[in-house]
Amino acid sequence: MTDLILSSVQGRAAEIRTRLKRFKLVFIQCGAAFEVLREPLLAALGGTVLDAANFAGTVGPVELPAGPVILDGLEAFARDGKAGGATLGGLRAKVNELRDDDAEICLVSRVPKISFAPVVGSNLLDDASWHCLPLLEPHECLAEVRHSPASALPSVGLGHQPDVDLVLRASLDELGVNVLTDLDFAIFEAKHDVSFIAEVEPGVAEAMRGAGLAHVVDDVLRFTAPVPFWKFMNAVADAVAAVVGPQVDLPAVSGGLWEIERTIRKILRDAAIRDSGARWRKNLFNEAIAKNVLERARNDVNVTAVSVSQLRDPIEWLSLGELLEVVQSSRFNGLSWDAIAWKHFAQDIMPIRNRISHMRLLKKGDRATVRMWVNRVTTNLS
Amino acid sequence: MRLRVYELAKSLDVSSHSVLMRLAELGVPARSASSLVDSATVTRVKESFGQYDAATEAGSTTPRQSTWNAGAVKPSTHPDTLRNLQRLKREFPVVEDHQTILARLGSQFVYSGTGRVPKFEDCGFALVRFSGAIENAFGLTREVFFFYSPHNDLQIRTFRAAKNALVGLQREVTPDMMFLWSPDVRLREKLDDWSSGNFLAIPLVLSDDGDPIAFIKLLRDYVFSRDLFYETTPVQGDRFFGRRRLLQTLRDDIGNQRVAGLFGLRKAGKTSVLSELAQSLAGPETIFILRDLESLPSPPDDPVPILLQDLTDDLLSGLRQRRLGTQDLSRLAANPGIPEFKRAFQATLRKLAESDITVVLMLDEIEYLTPSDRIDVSEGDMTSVAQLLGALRSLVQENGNFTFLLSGLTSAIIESGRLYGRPNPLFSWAKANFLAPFERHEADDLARSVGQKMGITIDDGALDALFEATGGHAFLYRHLASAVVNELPVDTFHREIKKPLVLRITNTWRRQVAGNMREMLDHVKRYYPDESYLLEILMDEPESFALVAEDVPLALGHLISLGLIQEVDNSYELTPVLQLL
Repeated sequence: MTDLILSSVQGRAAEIRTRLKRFKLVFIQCGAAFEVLREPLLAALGGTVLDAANFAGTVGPVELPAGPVILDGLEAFARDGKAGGATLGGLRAKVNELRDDDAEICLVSRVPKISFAPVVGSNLLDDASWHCLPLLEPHECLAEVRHSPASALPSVGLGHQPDVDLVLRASLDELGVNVLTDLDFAIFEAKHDVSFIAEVEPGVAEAMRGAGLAHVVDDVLRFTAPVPFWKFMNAVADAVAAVVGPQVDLPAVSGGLWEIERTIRKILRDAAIRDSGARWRKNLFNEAIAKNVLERARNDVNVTAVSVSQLRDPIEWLSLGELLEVVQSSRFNGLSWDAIAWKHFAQDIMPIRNRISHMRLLKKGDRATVRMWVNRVTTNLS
Repeated sequence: MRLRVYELAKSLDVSSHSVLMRLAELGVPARSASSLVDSATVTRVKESFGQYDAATEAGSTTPRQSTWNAGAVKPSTHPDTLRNLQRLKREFPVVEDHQTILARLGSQFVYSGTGRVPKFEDCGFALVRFSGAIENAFGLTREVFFFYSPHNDLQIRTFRAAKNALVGLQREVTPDMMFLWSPDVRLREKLDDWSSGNFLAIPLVLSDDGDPIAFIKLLRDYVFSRDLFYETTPVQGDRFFGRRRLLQTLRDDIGNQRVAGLFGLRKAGKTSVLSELAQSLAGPETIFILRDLESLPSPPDDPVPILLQDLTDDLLSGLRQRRLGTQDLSRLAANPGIPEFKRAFQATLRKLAESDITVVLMLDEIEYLTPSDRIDVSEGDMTSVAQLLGALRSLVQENGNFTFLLSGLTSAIIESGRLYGRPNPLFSWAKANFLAPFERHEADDLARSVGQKMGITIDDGALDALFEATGGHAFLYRHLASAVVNELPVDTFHREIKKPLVLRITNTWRRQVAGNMREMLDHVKRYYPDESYLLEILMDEPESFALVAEDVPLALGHLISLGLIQEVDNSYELTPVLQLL
């Protein structure tokens, strides 16, 4: 280990110890950009380093060790709040036992807080005071890389990983889908340039700071820019494209959308039957929609159908947009909802429906939004 | 007096750049570090950095011994006290020096003991009553514990024994502070490492010249370095503030065997209320069981088997502590079913009734039984939860010495007509209480009391600003106050929070808590669909809000009770909590 690494570690460890003294429970994000400092930093905290999942799984009362307790590997709980048979709630209960004994606890994670799945009740991560590891000052870097903008990232500036692109890509992968989707929106959809960092949501800004990709100058959050912006954009695009497995929220979101849409169709169908009896299929849609519906049905399973009246349930062949149009038509008058409710429904649900249709990545709030509308549709709409 | 920017920066121990930035914020033009700043602006800048001229003018940054003598304590004349103090001095000659210094500061040893700390009989202790001036400046209201150890290599077990000795004293002693002396050259380093935010251990390391001001500086350095505003664990006792009306309501509910729910936003202080309630009602005739459900599996995994085991263990522990019979619960199998648990609990309650003993069960984090973001709690498949709540309801109805409380974010568990495919046993039977933000007087009381313990006074303007920025939300209020305290100087003897300082910190602070607020609101969205929808309407189309809210009066009531919206002049608006987003 070089003297440069050791001296970089000392100041940062002292800052964490001060924070622990004040707040007792501290969360630090120590990912790819800080990998070179990770082991010596945790050692320099002068406490007991434990694996968070193992600690959560221990049975019986917790014994208080001397010095701070450093719970490493917290990221194991990120995907669904579970690791090694323990839950994040269980870990919180164990941590609180330590806190009752006045212990200082440092939670160490490679991934940011925003990338952890929501927990049911109180959240250990919200209990903790968030601490950002500072980037390297020029005098802390190896002389040969000091001129490079990426040298502020410890793994680059201390010569651990000279390939900036690799560090950047590893950092983006660690940041996770919740951050990537927000970056995607800020950079590619809203088309913010390098000032995008001011536009992302607070949790993402915190994640970017924790990853070393943003920092505060004169009270203003700025992108660290280890590489030219176009390269960063490409790295984000590559990271987004590389997410090929189903997201944890996918079953809940797709299931919720299914329930929402099937429920609206059922209520619409009931209303049509109430209105027209056995002839409910006829004159259900305007001419354009009826044409679309018939065409879709004929192209799929009802090859010989000549009118929508011959379809078992013409409503099943509507797109969501068409369904909303029919529901809000003068004939059905929004069912029991007013125009404001349908407007908000469309604003909230259509983008999520489109993401699912195109197999695009879901956003962090999608699951909660869908759940909210499942509840509203199933309890309020009639 | 006019000063140049660099002179002002030097006096504040900050960079000239910081002062120039601050001047810009205050709308005062200044080109460079050599620019002159008029005296009024100097005062404004100093105040924005938390330094107040009033204190300087009062001479409080240049303490004199005579200042600290005010309200002097008379030396004890009680023969027992004098005899014990003599014994302590024989064991620890340094006590003589300390006594001299304290006397010059108008303060006295009022109690002492040696050989009375189990396993540490070679240690001694004393209690000091400080002068009125010192008590006032450092927020002390009781005697302070001084501990003496003869060990050259002080160990943490001695430190813990000292804390235990303090806790065990049958006197009104400052509970969260002690001075400790030992000949260990690393005393300061060790105590700094072992003491925590909630307990202050001050090393009695003083210069040999017996300068009493050195003692005051020592006290200042430690007391002023504390941050007692920042709390993220449940508080009770001296650290609990306000909520008197709610606590009384809950006490009445318990007294009248009304099953109650306590609901509030994340970090609103629900568990603190439960802890305080348990502490205030605890006695030999009441067994309180506070069971946090967060370590349980959550539906769709069945949480009931583990919960039954946990409750059995809690009850057995409570009974054993009081040396009461445990045979009915002890006979339960390792994994009891709901009927077996109910029978054993019923039998236990009947026996406890003979001794007039009541059991109060408090289930915290109730969402773990009804995670409505994951499962349809009305019709989903988890009948065991409804069965258990039904069994608890029966126990309340059949026994005059049992009741229970629920706590969490969502009130659905008692407001939903059906629960997991069955009629909800708590619907229209249990009573909902909501934990709203602090009222203004409660928040002021918290700020002033906690501030006093850190030697900080807070002016009315600062109290206005703290409340306005946080809406009185407990966690946010403490968080902002903590951020402000962190900006106060520690090298002065007069610390005061004024409005400009709070306003200056608020912007940065908003960024710090924005993430927490987002999480808090996402949580509301997951558990309160109608309320979340109403919030969307109020944010996007406030003119339509009243009309929409008419259709969902329960949701409107929840939002008001949770402190998320407020009625102003016959219309509704978001509270400051949501304006942080």
